Amino acid sequence: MSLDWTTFSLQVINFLVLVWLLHRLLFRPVLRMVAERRAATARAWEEAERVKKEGEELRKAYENRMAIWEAEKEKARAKLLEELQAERSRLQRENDRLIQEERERARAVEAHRLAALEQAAETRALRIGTRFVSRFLHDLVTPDLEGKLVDRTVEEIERLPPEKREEIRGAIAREGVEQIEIRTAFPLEQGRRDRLAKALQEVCGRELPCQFLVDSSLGAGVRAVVGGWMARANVKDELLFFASKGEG
Amino acid sequence: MSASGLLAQPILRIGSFAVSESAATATGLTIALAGAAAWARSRLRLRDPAGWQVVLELAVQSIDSTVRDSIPKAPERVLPLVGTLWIYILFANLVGLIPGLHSPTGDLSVTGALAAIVFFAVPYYGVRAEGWVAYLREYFTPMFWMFPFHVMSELTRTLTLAVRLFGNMTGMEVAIGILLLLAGFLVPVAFLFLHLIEALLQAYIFGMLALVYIAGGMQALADREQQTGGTRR
Repeated sequence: MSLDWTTFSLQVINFLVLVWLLHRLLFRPVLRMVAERRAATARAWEEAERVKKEGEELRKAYENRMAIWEAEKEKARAKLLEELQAERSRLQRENDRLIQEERERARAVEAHRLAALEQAAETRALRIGTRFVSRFLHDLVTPDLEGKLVDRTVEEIERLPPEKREEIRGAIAREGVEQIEIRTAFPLEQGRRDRLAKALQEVCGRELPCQFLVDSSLGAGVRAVVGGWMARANVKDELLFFASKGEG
Repeated sequence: MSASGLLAQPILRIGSFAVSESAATATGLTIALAGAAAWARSRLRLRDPAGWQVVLELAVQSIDSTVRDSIPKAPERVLPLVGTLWIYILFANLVGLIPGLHSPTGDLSVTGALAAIVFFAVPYYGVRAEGWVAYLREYFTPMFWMFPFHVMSELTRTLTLAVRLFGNMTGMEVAIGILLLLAGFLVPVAFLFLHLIEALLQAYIFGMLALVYIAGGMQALADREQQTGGTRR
């Protein structure tokens, strides 16, 4: 067993060359690669930490904003509820007022309807009453009743106040009345004719001629017409007046 | 393996130079390792590394961390030598498993060359780390007459480094050869696994011892300063 110096020398050269080659082809590139990967990992880690930190900050900001929004929302909700309550109260009051108005209007309409019904019933009753009284009086009227009515008419004419008389006289003068028309249901006896004519002429202030007419439709009584003025005291006109009062 | 296999057998003669089988195998191994390293380097990827790249990075990182653990000061200078020792000796040992080839480490000339490189690497790195004076002073401590003993120590540990690797690998190959002659082809399979373990173990031991020797040379000054500081305190 001895050393072969050629092999020894070749081995030394081989190995040193291999050291040089592996240093450049293996150790340095691999370690650099590992270092770069570690650096990349560290950068990625730092980036992840930074992103995480930013995420945390964003989360906190978001939570703060959410809290503010919640507070604002609660405030707005309270305000809205308050406004709704006020609006509801206002609408309730308005509704109550409208109901009250509607109720009063219905009450007025009902009252008006009842009044109309009452008026219609009263009118109908008066008409019935008028027809009844007309039929009832038709058999009761006599020349004596008419004489009493004429006498009463004469008394009323004679009691006319002076201002009324002046008014009648003025109207006669303006209208140029030349005749007094006197209607009765029965022919009047002469004495009553004279007293009636005299009373009328005194009212007119002059002696106007009197035209006496018989009108049985009057039932009983007298109707004297001097221009626009009329003196009435007969059954027909009284009943008509009574009936017209009921319709009025 | 015959007894003559223990000696370097020339397979090629170029003039007065006789190229032995071990030298040829070692050269081929060097070319193969360099080619593999070049191939690997061209295919290194920062993202999505392949499986072989992960294994390679783990191996290189393991070597680097071992060197850094032993040599705190400028470990990157020592890494190429120690790393190459580990890788080269491992594959040189494993070459013996290939039929028709012998481990170069079964040649004393090869292991001697590796030990000689370690022998010269110790003062090289020591001087680079501490300077000539500080390094040489170590040979004269604690007494000046200790110098021959230091030199003897370095020579003997270099010799043992070479002979240990040579002896183990040669012995393993001889043992497997004898078993192949006696028991046929199936029984030695277990011994092939043993050869594998032996190859790993011897490569580790050689590289580790080289690392320890170099670290010892580089850290002598630091150790002395630490001792001096401790005495002063």
